[in-house]
Amino acid sequence: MLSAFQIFKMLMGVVVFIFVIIFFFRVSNMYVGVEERADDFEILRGFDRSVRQTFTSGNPGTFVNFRFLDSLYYDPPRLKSRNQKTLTVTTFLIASTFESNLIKECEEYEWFSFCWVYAYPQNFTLIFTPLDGDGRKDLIKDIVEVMPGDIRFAHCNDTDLLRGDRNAFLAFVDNGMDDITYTPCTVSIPDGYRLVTITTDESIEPRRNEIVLNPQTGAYIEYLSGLPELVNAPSPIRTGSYEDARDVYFLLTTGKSALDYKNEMFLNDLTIAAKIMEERMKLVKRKMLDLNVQQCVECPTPFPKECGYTNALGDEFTSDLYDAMAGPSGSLRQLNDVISANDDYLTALARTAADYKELIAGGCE
Amino acid sequence: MKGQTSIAAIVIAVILVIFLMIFLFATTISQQIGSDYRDEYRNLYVTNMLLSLLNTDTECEKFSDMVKDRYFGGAICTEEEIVYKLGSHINDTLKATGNTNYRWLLEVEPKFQGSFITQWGDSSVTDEDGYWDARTFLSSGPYRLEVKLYIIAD
Amino acid sequence: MKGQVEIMEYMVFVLLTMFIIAFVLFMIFGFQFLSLGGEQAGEIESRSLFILQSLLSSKTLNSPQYQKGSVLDDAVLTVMTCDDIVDMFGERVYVEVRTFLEKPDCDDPGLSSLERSRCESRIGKLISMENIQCTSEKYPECFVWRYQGCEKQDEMVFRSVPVNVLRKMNSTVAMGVITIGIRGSET
Repeated sequence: MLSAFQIFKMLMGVVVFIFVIIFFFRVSNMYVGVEERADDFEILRGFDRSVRQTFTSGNPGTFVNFRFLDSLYYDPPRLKSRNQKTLTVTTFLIASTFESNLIKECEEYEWFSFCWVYAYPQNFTLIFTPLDGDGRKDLIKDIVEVMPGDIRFAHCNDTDLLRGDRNAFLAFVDNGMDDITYTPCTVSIPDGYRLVTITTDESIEPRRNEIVLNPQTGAYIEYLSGLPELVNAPSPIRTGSYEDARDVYFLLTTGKSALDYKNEMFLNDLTIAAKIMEERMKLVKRKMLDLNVQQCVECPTPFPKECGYTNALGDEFTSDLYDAMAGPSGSLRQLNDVISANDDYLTALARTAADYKELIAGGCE
Repeated sequence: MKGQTSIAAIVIAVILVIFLMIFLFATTISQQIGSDYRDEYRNLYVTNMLLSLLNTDTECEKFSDMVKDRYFGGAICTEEEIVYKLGSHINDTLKATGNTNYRWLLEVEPKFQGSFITQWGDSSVTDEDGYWDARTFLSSGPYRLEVKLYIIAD
Repeated sequence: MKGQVEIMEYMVFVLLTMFIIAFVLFMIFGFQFLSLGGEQAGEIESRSLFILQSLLSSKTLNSPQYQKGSVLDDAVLTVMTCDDIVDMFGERVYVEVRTFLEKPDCDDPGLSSLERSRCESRIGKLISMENIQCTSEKYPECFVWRYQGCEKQDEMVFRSVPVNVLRKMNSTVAMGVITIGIRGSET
């Protein structure tokens, strides 16, 4: 006959046992989710760290841990993993999953520079099929010139695919390409490869990892490239127009949304820098006149107030800056106005770089 | 009674050991993660301290010129002025960044034969562990001088 | 009495067993939780370093003449605003730059006591001048740059590094310090 205490001990044992099982079960469930999220989190954070290091040091790097993620979706500037872990990184443009090389690139304008980190696939190969269109050879050469150094190139004619490094390929474009009558490439294009079909035929639709360029109109049709797993993506075919080989470089490797994002970032940074520079030039000029400070350009004696830093050289810079950024009212334009206007601002921007270089050479800066 | 006391003692001891282990475990983790960035920040701090110092103009001349003049002639400042100005600039900077009670040493080592090492500041800094240091080079024609800055908390 | 002791022993045993199981689970799973917390602390460090290095290497903020290290242009610092900082970094970063005036050596043994007290009072004046905040009106007779709207807040993490400031009006390079403060709660 069991005593009351023995019954109590048995009941207590069962209760503790149930408690431990439930606790263990619940914690391990939480753990499974946490571990997955923590892994995604760690991989994305690791990528963020690599990008920041490349950006601040300027030294090239690599990142190979994306292969541990099931999927990755790039919606600039956000990178999303399957478990909805999101990373917003504003200083990079990504081209690939898996093993990536990271390099820092800059567009320089003497007083302003726009830099970003570009992640492109290791063992990336660019394949060309020039079907028709005047200027296709020049377009190919321009594109090859702007690509990062270690990318390989190939040409494809139907099922024929021949690869080579940059120099061998350029030599082939100059000497061998004219002898071939190309038909559309039918080889399957895996990730890590991009096919560029150059043609004036607007009915040709790209397959996955392919872009079709029209060298006469500057139009392109792309099959949304970048990352293999697209979650909730709209139609993968996108159209638009490109200005030059640099635009094509972005389209090829990152897609239209990344190109748009890069242009947006560029104009955003440029607007801030131009506004600051304009204010700064005005302040310096005013104070130099007030304080009778003479710098750089040699002035005759007696010293007229218009001389030195306040001469035409400084004014030229400011006036070109206005051309680059200003609207009819004379005040610096808003970002949208600049984008929607024609691209004369790039020419004016180049002029500001030349002006500023002269200011430096003259000892004014 | 004695049995009860010994069990209670064992239980308390086990619980205390477990808490101690949790505490040590937690502090080790947080230290590990913070330390990479702390090192990077310290390197940035002391490297910038050295480069900025050398680039600074004073009433007699730029610090980098003071260093070069020591080896190649043409010194404008006296030895006392140099030491005072170095100390004043370094201490102002340390104070403004919340680092008081630091000692410093600026050492110049020529990378060519037949010359001498210059030390300004407290030469005992490098005898101890835990100093922060940075180095850079100054050149005059084909001749190079390695300039090193050491700082250590008191 | 013996029964009470037995119950007490049993309770203690159950409590201890549960405690040990919880501890074991904590050691196995706690690493993940602590790492995440540690990661967040690491993230603040990483972000503050990145913002500092971006400011130090910004072509707009720096004078073009100096290749090694950063030399911030004092006129650019004067015209910059908190809105510019927010546009650059997407958050209200506390930014402060200050420079130092050269102070005379009052410990020179060659000085008389009158000269020494004059020297010390001059140092006092220089130190109070060093706190003059820059505006377009006060420029260039000012030595501290702060930005209205991007103020210091208690819960911020601060980082400071030495820097040079180019005093454009007299073309001299001064020694200074840049301090930034960021909030921990940003992504």
